Amino acid sequence: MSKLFINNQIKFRSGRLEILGVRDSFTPTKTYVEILRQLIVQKKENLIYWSAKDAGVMWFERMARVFPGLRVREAMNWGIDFIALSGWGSAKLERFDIDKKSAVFLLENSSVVRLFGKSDTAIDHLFRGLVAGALTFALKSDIDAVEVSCIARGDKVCKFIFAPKELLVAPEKVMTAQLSKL
Amino acid sequence: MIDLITSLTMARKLDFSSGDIKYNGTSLSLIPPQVYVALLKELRKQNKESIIYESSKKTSYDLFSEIGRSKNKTSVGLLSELSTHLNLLSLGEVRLEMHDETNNRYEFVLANSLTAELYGNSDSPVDVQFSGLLAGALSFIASSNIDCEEVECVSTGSKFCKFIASVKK
Repeated sequence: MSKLFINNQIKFRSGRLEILGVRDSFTPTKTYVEILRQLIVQKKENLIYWSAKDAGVMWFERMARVFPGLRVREAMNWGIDFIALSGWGSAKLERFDIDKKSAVFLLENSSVVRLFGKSDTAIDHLFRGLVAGALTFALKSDIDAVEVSCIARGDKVCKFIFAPKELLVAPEKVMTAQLSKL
Repeated sequence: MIDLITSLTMARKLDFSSGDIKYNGTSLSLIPPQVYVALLKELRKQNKESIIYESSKKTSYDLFSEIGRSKNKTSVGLLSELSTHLNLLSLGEVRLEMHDETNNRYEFVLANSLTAELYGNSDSPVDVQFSGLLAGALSFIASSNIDCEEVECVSTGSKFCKFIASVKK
């Protein structure tokens, strides 16, 4: 957060928040969780993933304009910091292979998981989509993501695999459930 | 506003730590506004936008009860601060236009609505979340079940977004 303030890239004034020159706002996380619940009932939760992926691409396009010359690893570190600023949890990069255009992230202290409670399926679609979008821009390749374990499901950790869709290695059921289009 | 952020952070009322944002104990997130608008449009197709209203109302009620408790404020004091707290959420700039104390009725205007800006044209008002936030805050302040309706909206062609809040019948 301090980096953004120092670089004059986060501004608050008169009910208006701007980050990297674009308006943003705070949403009570509980409200987002209730929206998520309804979309899961309707089997439309992937709407979150696809719209978040578009947002992730846009966010990194903005960042590249404001900070030209940013290297991929630097951009990813900024992205991780921004995720922490955004209140979704703490992202940790577990593995990154720039040649294979793939990455593994963990999300700790997911606020969505904390407020949602138990689920039969993985639920961090917003994080999954945003980072897929960010990597799509940073790696100049269409990157998709699946959440292969989720604390809401009873797993020990929220873990995400990112790669071009044809290279993603995950159970078929997970791929179908999480990457189907509406 | 930047001084407000700093003072709230220093007083630990606004806390950014461990990947969490807490504002007077309420969890907040930066949801990309275009994602929120996409979700709002989908819920409207399902006639389920009331989920956003009801959840926002409940959260806002809890938030203002915590603010009131921690500051030991009277309802009059909280009403004068309501705009400051809601403006922090950055959905636009809100101001109280009228307060009819006898009938517990309020009129608010929201300038520069972020939701209306991104939503585009609509047949009906779009600031569902903000309506809920106002209703919850006022319900606590007035110690009554207050509901809020957006009666004019930039998305429907009005010059500004206007809200009427009154005791639920």
